[in-house]
Amino acid sequence: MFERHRWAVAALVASMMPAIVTAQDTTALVRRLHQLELLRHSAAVAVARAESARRERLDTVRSGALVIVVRPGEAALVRQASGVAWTRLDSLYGDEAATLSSTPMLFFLLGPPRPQVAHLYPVIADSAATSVDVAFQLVRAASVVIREKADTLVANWTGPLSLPEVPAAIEHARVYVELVTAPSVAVRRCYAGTADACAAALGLGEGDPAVLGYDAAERRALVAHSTDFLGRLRPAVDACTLGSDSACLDVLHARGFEPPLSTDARQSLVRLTLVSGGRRALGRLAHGVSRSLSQRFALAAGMPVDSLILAWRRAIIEARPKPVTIAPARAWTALGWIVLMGLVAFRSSRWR
Amino acid sequence: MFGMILFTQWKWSRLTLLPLVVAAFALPLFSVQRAGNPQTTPWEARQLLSSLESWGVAYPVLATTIALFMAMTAWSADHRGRHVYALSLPIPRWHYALQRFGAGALLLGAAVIALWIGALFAAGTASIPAGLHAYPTAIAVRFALALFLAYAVFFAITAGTTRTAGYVLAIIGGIIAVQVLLETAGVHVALIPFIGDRLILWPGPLEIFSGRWMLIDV
Repeated sequence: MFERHRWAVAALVASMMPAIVTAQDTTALVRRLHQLELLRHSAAVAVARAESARRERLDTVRSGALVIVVRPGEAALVRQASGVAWTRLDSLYGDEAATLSSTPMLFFLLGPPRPQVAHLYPVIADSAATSVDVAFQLVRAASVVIREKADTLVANWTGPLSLPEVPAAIEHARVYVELVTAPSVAVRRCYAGTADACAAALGLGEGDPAVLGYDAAERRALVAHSTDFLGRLRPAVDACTLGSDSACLDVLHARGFEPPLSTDARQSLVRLTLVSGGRRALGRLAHGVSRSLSQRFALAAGMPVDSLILAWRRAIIEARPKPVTIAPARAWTALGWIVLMGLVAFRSSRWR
Repeated sequence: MFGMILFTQWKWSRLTLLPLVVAAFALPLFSVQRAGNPQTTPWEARQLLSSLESWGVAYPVLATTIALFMAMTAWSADHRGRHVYALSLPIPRWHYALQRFGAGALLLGAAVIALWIGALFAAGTASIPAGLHAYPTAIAVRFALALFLAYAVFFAITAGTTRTAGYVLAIIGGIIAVQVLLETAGVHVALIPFIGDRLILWPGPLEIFSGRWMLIDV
């Protein structure tokens, strides 16, 4: 009896083999993954609806790929804000913003108790919030969601939010200040125009970032300035401050350290990459798991990473903050206005 | 005669002018308080610039305050005496007004020099992070231009009659009223920002007041 069943199972498996082999085809696999993603999205929305029906009556506001569950009294405010937020998200993240549809958000104002809905990403605003404030909060929350969807390497590299809502000119001016002040040999060489040094300063260099980004004296200063909670590293820190560069490297490798240029600089590079690479650039950057960061940037921007980094450097140099010095034309204009105002005073009607 | 006008304006204004001159000297010194921190970190330059940016607002405010005070002082005695003294002088009115303007402008020089010395002192004593530079003379020149421009504007307004001042106020009030009415009617015309831009952006008269007033900058 058992022997007969075994043959029957073997025959069944053998008859299904062609179908299994076909299912491994990449196109079919992508299609199935897409179907799976749609099912997951439907399930998430269904769960949200079920929760909504069970606990409290809630409305769903949609704008682009944004799905926001909200109390009926706040729906008008959120509807108005979500349009603005979606436009902003779409322009910031391109096609990657569409992935937000699989993460419905729960919006509520501070004050009344939070709606009892689990599984939804919370977005909170002040009770006196305007539609502009709500749009800001929605963009911020959506940025966090998009960041969480990216793989850890990119998410850690870009910092707390993928792309903050700061005008590019202000962001570039801040980075310019870093470019001329950051205590790093790589940053100084980047300012002078070396693409490799810029890559090292941004944490994209191929090799040991502690060696690429800093010289021996800078490594020593870096260790000397972060001496909290040393623990077992105390002897190495002491040796480093006494001049042992290998000890400094040991400490830095053990404790970890940031690239010489801050998250502002890194985010400005991401922004430029998205501008260069088009609407799908962020997807290529955030999900190319098998590649190094610099390869992903090249792929995302659609150009060699050196060209991308040099373009970034040019943009930063051009955004140099205007110092207090004034151009002669402006000084003459001011003098002209002084004379003109003086003439107005001398021609006053008081004695006529 | 210019000496006498200068002396009288000095006498009328010195009690208020002297503290303002001291403020002009102290302002650059206060603005570099954050510089010279021995704990040099990568963030020090940014913190210093951010602190200087906050203090930067004080330069145009101080220039405007000093200019307003000096312009009002220049004409206050004439207004009180109904211009009898000025009319009794055997000189044309523009000549008299020029001397009043010149005396006030000369006294303003004290504030400019005080600010320049303060800026030089602050720049010399502050420990400036590598990559940043001090601009003591540039900020003093800019302060001087802003000060004299504000003085010329206020001098022109105070030299006129009450009716002239009324016209100026009426124009400003009228612009605000039109903006409010347009907004109420649902017509979105940014009249005030448009006029503001014409005044503040080059070659507008108040352009010198805009921008970064940074003693230390990139």
